[in-house]
Amino acid sequence: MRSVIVRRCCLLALVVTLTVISSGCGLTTAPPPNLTPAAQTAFHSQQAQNVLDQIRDIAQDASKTVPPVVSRASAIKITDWHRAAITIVHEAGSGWPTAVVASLTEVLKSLSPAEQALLAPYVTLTKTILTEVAK
Amino acid sequence: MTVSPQLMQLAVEEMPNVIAGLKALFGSRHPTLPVPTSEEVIAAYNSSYQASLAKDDAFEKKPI
Repeated sequence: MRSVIVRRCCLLALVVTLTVISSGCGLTTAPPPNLTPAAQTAFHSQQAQNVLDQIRDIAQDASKTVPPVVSRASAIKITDWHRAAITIVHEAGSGWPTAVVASLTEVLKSLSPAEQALLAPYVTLTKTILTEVAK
Repeated sequence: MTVSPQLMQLAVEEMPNVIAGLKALFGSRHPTLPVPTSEEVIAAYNSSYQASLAKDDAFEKKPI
């Protein structure tokens, strides 16, 4: 019973955190009203890149531990994906969220189950924020 | 420590109000905060983009 309550509290905390981060005070704040359309696009692209950078940084850092939590090969896969993803965001300007989220799902599938489990919460957070940025 | 079901129910029901309050609290821009210009925003993003690409390259080129 107690563990169920603790689990529910953790779930509630996670939902609140994700919601607040994605829609109010975190990475997806609204752009200043004085920006030109091009600058607004850059503003949103910056937010998207920040969260994509986080996934890359987590994978790279996890590959540097002793013993490594994520293999170097997997970290390189994620780094390759990251390079492609931020390039798409940079070049496309808009319409990229579907492709980036889909590619993230695919690259995650290519990792080992343990690595997938490790990165899953960050991937969920990333997808949530990317979806909010795209709105 | 135990949490009563009524308290949990209340927490769930009031969650939208809590979220709305947090958004109102943190979502607005402070009136005295300097507002970046369009040129600054674009330049900062392009700089950040190049730096991120450079970090990708540095990791892949780094010997094991």
